[in-house]
Amino acid sequence: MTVRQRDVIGDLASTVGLGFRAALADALLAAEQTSAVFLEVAPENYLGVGGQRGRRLAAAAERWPVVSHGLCGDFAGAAPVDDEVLVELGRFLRRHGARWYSDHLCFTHIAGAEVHDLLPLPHTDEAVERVAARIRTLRDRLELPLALENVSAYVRAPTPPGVVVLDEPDFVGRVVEAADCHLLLDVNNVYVNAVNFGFDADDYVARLPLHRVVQIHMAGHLVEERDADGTPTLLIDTHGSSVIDPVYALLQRTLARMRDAGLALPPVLLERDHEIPPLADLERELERLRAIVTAVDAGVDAGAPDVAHGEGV
Amino acid sequence: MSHVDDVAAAWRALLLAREPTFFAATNAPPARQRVYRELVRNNLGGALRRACPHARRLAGDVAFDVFVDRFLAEQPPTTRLLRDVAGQFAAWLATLPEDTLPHPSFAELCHFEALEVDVTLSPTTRDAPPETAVVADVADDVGVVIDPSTRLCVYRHPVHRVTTTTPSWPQPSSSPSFLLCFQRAEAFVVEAVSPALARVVMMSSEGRTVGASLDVLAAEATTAGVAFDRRRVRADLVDLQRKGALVGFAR
Repeated sequence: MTVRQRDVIGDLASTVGLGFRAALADALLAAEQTSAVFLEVAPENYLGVGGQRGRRLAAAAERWPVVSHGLCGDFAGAAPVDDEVLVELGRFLRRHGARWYSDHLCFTHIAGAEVHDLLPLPHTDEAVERVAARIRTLRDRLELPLALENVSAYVRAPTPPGVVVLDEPDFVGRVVEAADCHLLLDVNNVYVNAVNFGFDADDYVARLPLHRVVQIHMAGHLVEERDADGTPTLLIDTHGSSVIDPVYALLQRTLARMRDAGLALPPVLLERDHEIPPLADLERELERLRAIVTAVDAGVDAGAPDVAHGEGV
Repeated sequence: MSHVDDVAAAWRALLLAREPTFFAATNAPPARQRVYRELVRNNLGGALRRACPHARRLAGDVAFDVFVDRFLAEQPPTTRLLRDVAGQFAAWLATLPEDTLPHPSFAELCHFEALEVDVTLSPTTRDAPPETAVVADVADDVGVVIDPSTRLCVYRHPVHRVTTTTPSWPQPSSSPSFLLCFQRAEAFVVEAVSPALARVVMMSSEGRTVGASLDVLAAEATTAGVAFDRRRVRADLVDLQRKGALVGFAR
């Protein structure tokens, strides 16, 4: 690996951060104190943006370390990487001092259309090679550490008969190994997919190349369907509600697994994109995340949520 | 064609076509595939509805959504920037025969509403100072330096006068509306200008001097046998600078 996980993370180890959203900008900039040690910025929301919105981002980037999280990386695209896009993206990342750049392991661009959503890829060798080649190009051009995020899914992408289909953690692991890049582990997405496809979330995490995880995402989701017993059977990754207890618990176990493997604890980011509450409400979630990280870092369980089972939404 | 590209095409047929084509796959029941169709269409449709509130209100939700559906099926967005989807929607509407639209001004109104978002989020001189030395006077040998947020547009209908209480579609004007739209003190500003002023701004911001631009218009006026007041256009340029549409003038 070009740069070790611990070296990429640097002084953001064992910290918590918040997704920078226009709706939160004023409150964040006015806040005298916040638990957010770093901010995550989506370039697609700010590329070419000036005026008041652009100045707010510039002010935030002066006050907090910034990591960058793309929304439309199109890593499975057939077309060559667009040079103009890369130049613009690189300029944006340098201007705001982004520590690394991440994006999603999925389709966003399908057959000439940009859908602005995250669509599962086929978990096949061909997809591994396609994405890995693109990631290597992107990483070399941007000259920044690059991380891929595991995405939530509600169906599996179709694959032709006879083609070997990898399990999701194997697919994720194969891609990041082949691309020699880092992993942004979205713990909520693991939980969502575990419910939607009926696998064990801890087993999934255990099979990932955790030595490549440089950041963690936490978010809320929506229960779309339940069975006759009321047990959730379909979860939608909305980023529109609070993180639930089982996802906090999965975070704690994931961080403990990383600590026990001698890895740096990656910075944990709280994502909220819809139904954005006042900053004070998000601060309570950040505090809870911070307590978990601090406790795991110290090798104790104090601060961890006491509810490890059940669905809170 | 690789199977990765086949899967991308299958996603497009499921998500964007007017009638979805569900793919047959293990772990992919149609009800769950429909979740993706609804997520994508709600997201893109929601962005368009938010960007074009006046056009949506005047057309009605049902009629507006008919065009959203057609847009997604016939010429879906290609931009990575969600805020630019409305501009692509308006550009597509402009290609359609007017008699197929809810009103002949529909495409222009959507364009103007998308433009408001574009201008409001655009960098301004405060964010991106001009690279050339700017002067205050309008000599013959200077060019116009426009603010980075300034857009020049022409509409057959006075769509810029539509407000939240406008009861009906704007009717065509006897002459087109030439508008300079720009950002001032974080607000969206619209300045109606004369066709002559609009052309001088356009020509002299693209490399001609003000004097050369005025010469072009004067020659055209002579050919047409109409009067042309150079001093008036110069005075209007100064006024535009005072209002913030122009940064100034540069040699």
